[in-house]
Amino acid sequence: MLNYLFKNIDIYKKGLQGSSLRNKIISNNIANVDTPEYKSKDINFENIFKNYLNKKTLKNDASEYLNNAKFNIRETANLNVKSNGNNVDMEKEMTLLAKNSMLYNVMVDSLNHRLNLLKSAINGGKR
Amino acid sequence: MSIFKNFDITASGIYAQKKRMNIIAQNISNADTILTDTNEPYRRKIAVLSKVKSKSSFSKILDDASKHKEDSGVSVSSVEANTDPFKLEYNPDHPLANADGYVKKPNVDVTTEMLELLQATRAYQANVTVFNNSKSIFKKAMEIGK
Repeated sequence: MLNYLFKNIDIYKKGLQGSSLRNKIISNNIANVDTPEYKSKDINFENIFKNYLNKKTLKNDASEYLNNAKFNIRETANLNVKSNGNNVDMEKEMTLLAKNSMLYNVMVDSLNHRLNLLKSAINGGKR
Repeated sequence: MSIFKNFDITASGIYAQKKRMNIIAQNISNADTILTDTNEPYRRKIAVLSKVKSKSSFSKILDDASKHKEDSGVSVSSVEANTDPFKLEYNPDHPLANADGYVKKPNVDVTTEMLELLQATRAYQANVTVFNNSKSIFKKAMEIGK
């Protein structure tokens, strides 16, 4: 029972970790916006959760997959390379940054909501 | 520590852009300097930006162990002098004029410098935005379980 309750929290953990790592990578991209030969990077954030959902429907051990999954840092494909060999797209990075921090906030709020539900169940609904 | 690395990266960006602005300011203020220590006009300086790998050995080992081969920001690796030829201005009355009456002037183009300055300013602002964003994220992380 308790295991079931905390399985959801593991998803949040992975999500928050990934979002935090992506934030770091975006800040690195933006710091290197004028560095010659620098290539923009990103992580396979969405892929991991997509695979998780697929595995879940197949009744495989999805939570183990999620715990073992590693975020890979890789160079973003299909970007226009500027004359100095740099391909950081400022607009793309900024929108990704805004999206990412919104996602982070949503995840924290949602996690708190879930923890409050748990708290409420422990206290028998008396706050 | 991983949490503060984020801030280190943006800080390195802010610092590098600031340094770049300093060099631009030096170029503009010396746009008419026709005599320097080397007995030639001022040469335009260019800040060379390059990405930084994790510096301290401990965090480098930690990064290698966690298989997160990430960079940690940007820095001005060197300041190079531009080798473009000097501009020539016809002014036979000038004490430094050559036999044909031309004076060598610095190879600084103020328009190029202003554009570079604009670019540096925007990059600086972007880094500040990222800093504030990271800060709000970490503030939010403090709310987990509240």
